[in-house]
Amino acid sequence: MTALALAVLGGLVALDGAALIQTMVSRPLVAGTLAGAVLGDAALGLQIGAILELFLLVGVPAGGGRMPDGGIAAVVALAAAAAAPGAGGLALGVAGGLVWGDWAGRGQEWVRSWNATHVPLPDRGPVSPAAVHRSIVLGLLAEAGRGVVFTGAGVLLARAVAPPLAATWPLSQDPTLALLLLGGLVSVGVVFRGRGLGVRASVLFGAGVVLGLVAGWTAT
Amino acid sequence: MDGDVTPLPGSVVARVLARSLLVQAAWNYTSLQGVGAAFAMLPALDYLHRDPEAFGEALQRHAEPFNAHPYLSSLALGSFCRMEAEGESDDRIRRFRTAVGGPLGALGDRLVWAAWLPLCTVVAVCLYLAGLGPLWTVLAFLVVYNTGHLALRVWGFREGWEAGIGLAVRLRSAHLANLSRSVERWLVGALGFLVGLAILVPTLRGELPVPWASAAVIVTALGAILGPRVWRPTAAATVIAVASILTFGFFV
Repeated sequence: MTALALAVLGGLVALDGAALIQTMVSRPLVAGTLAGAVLGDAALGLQIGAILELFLLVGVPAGGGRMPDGGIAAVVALAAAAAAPGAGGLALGVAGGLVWGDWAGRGQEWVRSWNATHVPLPDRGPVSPAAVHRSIVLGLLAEAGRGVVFTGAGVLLARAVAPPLAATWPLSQDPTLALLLLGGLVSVGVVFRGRGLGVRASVLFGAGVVLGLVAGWTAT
Repeated sequence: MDGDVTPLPGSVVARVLARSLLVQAAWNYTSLQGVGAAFAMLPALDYLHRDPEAFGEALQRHAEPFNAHPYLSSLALGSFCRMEAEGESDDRIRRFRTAVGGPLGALGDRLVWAAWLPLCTVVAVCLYLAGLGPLWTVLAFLVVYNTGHLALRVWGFREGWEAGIGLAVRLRSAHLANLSRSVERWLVGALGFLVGLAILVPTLRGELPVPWASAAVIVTALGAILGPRVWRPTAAATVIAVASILTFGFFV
């Protein structure tokens, strides 16, 4: 039953990714937390969502380009981590989620290619309101279907594969977390570069570091 | 909305705005957002063109290929509505549609995808690291992000309607580029805050071993030096590292 709920969630986050509103429920941070709530561990969901969020910080849908589907990645990652609690499940979840999210992003290319076959085009003849409505509905159904299929398949695979593989994971929680964060932190650097490496940016970044240090130190 | 042209009724504006939320519902590699834009325009076209032939012609031109940033598409839609209301020629509206998409795409990509979204995301991750619970972290992210998002859509339609064909001039005075730069500055500060919170605090407390902290600083710097081309290889390297550790027990 939870697999079905996760698949439906995958359909919803796939819709939100580009086709419908884009409230960013589809971001890993949110989708991971929602998947965690479905599985009874929202905190684990937020943790995995935050790690994936760092990886995909630069993965924004600019210009209609293909990007990994972070929402589906997060839901599948949660399924793996919940099926194999501990460091192994965390590592497998994040790594598997990154791979699955990339494939789900490719799936979006198929949907967009298929959409071209049913949209009414002026050079093919008169466009009617009914044809426009039909295309919008078909596009939404295709996108939701993509999310349900990719997420459902990913969840089932994660549940079958994660427990035996995670049992052989040799690292404890802290080094596992550090290893995953190392990959994610590259994106932080990339985003910083995108804002320019001038003196002003460096001063602002440095001020942020000091504030973060002070806030973190005094918080507990 | 000004008085040269009879304003669209509120219910029509609301329907166009609501439909603009689906502007990418049938995004495709042929007409891009074209059919989505036509879908959003339908209530306005239905109201403005009582004559079936004029309605058909208007729908035909709005189903042409079109692409803009999805949030700023409301700016274009507002302008299209104004031009239709003013009875602009078919040729002029088509040329305007072709011309306006690219700049709105670039502006929106920079303001939303490259600044506002990462800023809200980084702040949410910082809130999580600072100990805020899952529900509140996610709620804070969604509320703050979507306040900006929805405000931009509503503002966009209004500006687009008021500007009509003079959208380019109007956009220059709207200072969206300056807004982008301001948000980017906050983003840079937030990135620094994240590094301080996630790397330096745990290191000083002895929770993160110095070699790991050094590696974290190095990879962040590498990302800053090498830029976007290292993003995918890094994700792939992480996947390969996890697979290698599982298979061979490397680094143990």
